[in-house]
Amino acid sequence: MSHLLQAIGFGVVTASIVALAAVAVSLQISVTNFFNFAFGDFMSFGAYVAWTANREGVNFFLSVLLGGIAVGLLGMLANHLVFRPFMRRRVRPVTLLIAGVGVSFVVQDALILIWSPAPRRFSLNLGQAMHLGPFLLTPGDLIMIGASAVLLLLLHLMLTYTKFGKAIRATSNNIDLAQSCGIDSDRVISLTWFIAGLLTAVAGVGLVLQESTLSPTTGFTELFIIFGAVILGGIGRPYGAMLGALIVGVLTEVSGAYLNAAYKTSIAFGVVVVLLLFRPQGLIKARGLIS
Amino acid sequence: MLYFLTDLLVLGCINSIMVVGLNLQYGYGGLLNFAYYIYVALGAYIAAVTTMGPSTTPGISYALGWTLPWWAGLIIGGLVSAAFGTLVFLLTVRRLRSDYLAIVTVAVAFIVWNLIDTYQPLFDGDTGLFNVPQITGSANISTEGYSAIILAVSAVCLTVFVWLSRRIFRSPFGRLLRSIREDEQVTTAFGRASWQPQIAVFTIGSFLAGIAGGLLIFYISAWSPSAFLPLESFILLAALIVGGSGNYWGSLLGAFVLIEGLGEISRYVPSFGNGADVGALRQVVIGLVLILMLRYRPEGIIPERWLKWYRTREQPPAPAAAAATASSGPDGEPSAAAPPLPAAARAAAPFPEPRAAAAAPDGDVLLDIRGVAYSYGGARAVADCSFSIGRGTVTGLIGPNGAGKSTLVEILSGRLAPQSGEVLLDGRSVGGLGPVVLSRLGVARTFQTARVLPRLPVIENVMIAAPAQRGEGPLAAVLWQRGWRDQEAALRKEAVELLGWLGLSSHLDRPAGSLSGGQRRLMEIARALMARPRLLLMDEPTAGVYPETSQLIARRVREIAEAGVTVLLIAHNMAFLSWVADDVVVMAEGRVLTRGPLEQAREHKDVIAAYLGVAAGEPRGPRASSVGGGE
Repeated sequence: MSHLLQAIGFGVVTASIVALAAVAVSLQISVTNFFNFAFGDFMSFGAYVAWTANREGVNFFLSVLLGGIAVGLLGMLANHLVFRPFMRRRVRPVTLLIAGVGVSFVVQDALILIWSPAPRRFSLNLGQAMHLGPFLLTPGDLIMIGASAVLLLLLHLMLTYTKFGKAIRATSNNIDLAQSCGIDSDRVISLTWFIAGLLTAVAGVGLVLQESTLSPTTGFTELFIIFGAVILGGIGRPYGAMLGALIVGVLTEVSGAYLNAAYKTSIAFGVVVVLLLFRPQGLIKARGLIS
Repeated sequence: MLYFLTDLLVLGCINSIMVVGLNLQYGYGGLLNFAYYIYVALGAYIAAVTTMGPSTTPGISYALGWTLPWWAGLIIGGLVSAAFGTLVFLLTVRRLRSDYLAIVTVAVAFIVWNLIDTYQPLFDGDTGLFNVPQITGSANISTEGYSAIILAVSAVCLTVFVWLSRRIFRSPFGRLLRSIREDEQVTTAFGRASWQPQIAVFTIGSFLAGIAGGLLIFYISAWSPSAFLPLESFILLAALIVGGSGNYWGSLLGAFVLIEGLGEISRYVPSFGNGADVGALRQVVIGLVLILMLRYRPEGIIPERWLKWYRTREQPPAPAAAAATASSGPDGEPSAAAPPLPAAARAAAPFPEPRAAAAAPDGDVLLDIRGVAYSYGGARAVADCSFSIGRGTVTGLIGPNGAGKSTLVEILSGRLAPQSGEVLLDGRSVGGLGPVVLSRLGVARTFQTARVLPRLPVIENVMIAAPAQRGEGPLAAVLWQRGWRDQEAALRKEAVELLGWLGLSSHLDRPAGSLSGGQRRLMEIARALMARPRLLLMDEPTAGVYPETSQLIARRVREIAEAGVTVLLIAHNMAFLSWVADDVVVMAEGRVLTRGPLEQAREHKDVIAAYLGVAAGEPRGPRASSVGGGE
């Protein structure tokens, strides 16, 4: 029993990282309606920037923020140079997905060219793991869970109460209508890429800290499990993505604790595929960004 | 030097087989497989373990070890890949939209990869297999000689597969696949279930992957999980897109230029830093080329439309076409100079019941709608709607916006199931049977916004609708061309006639996406008639159409009805209705207000009230639209 609870504890840590990433993907999909295939590489990029800044002596949290800004700008750039021209021509989502493959090639291999393919160590030594009730967590884990909760709450407040959040929701609901109501949807989409970029980098750093190593394929490896969480939650619905992430995260860790740990990602994938067989529209059915 | 060249050609041929297979899946079928290389890997592993002989070296383990001859291993590898493809398709693909279908293919592939990598007894885990026997057996042969032999085998396979692609492309099966790729709603509306041809093409594509994998492992004699990382699938996809998706020559070009060509070039680029730099630079180039191609030449270097297949074959019967468009009198009355109605619109061959003569006896009811209701969520669109339509008549369906007309057409065409009530077609209850069945029962339709298959030529857009095409199954398409060639020629002739009759003779081989709005409407009529319907549903056939074209459509609709086809059409254009409709049904708020000749309906006070948004003198709101006006 305690074994299970402990695994669930680890699952929550993983889930908090996957949730940040899945919400970032979902937020971007909600206004652009396509999967950013380069998302994993964006995470790696954010982690590399943070790692470099931290190595140069910048405070850890400030480094993560720098990583976030870097990914935000990269997202805006990719949107501006690659994705927007396609969206203007109203191509199918599949074309944008394939364009994302191209972006992924460029970003991932740029990382290799800049930082070399050698894996880097990146960890925070904040002290030993401690018992919190039935859970065994490190201070780093707690910071991750806290950061994830705070960021997702901030995002929720922004979407619900600010004018900009309203503009995002309007664009997500019907871009043409939003435009004719005077919303500058180009600007909204651009800024959404930036905000999603901030979350992306935090998720990327979280991922790297969990494994203590960083390589140019770190993010790409996790890409599909994140997409799985997004699909599970219902495409383009950030709140559903959180639920999807929780399921995927807990599943991964719990199955890893009981079965061969090498299969844990496979099991999560398997469950995602099976759940989608029964609910291809995702677990949450509500339409729109906020229901 | 010679060895260098044969080596290059062998790998080029094998990669080409992969891209040709991917082209079948994505280029023809529109099915995006992001894990194609896993099928290659499966073929390779199976080919190896069926030919390798039992494992004797301690510490190395793998299943099977059958010592079969190489060709048997190759074929079994292909079949296993094909079976895995079928399974994945059944599990996931047919339920999901194509962009996240791609993501699910990756999830399934990851599980397989993970299993192979971790579970040692299968294929020796992450160490992989070595010393796979050469296809020449134990014969002592030089490296150069062996690569020449493999080249011959690969070239033969590639030739067969390109031939296969070409045969499929030109068959009714290929046309159906390309149509589903363009717009699934159209093929469904004309009686084709999408998943049958799709599963077939996905399986064939997987088979090609397996064969390519087998050839590869017989050539390089070793295989391990690090040989099939996700990256490989995306490079193949990039090669397909750059070469020209949909075009088998494009697949060859993509494989040779993007994979082999770029690989060779990068061998001459000096390393400038960390060792992985040249490879990484090559990937950056692939990424950039992919993005730039998608943006500036999305059809690839050799577009699908460059295939000889798409070039004009028949000379249009020009005079008839000219007469068709020029012969509208000033008053818009159908002119006598119209060319005769083609056979396709007259014949009722596919239906067992003999069609009633044009002059149907009064009271001969084809369609009977009884108390049909439908709501979207809480909004009631159709409520207790009842009326019937006599055989061979033209009935106009009119009413203000939101009256439920289009919803009713969707119900009659089978896309929506009535939530209550009954629809009887020739006395048979057909409500909720779905578009595929209804189409087979003789219901054809046009769409509110004309739906064309943009990349297919006009003539193929029309031919797709013909019922009971013999070459639509994969086996018949490939192996028994004689069985469908004559039918195909006859259908083509019919389509040419129909298009001529509708004034589109000079556009037969143009991609339908380049047609104007009016031409699309005309093409939709030809397509619907090609299905040889008993009941033709037309949702606003003249919306956004030039007046001259409206007149042509009106004339044609009359002739269609005189030939015995029953027509139900939604229209707002009163002049058009007065030409074509025997009588009209007026709907408002989901119900039938009145029915009868148009003149009578126009005077009816409820109708006027409905259009002006006033009922029985009680003000209902400012919404108003003109009763007597045009569009």
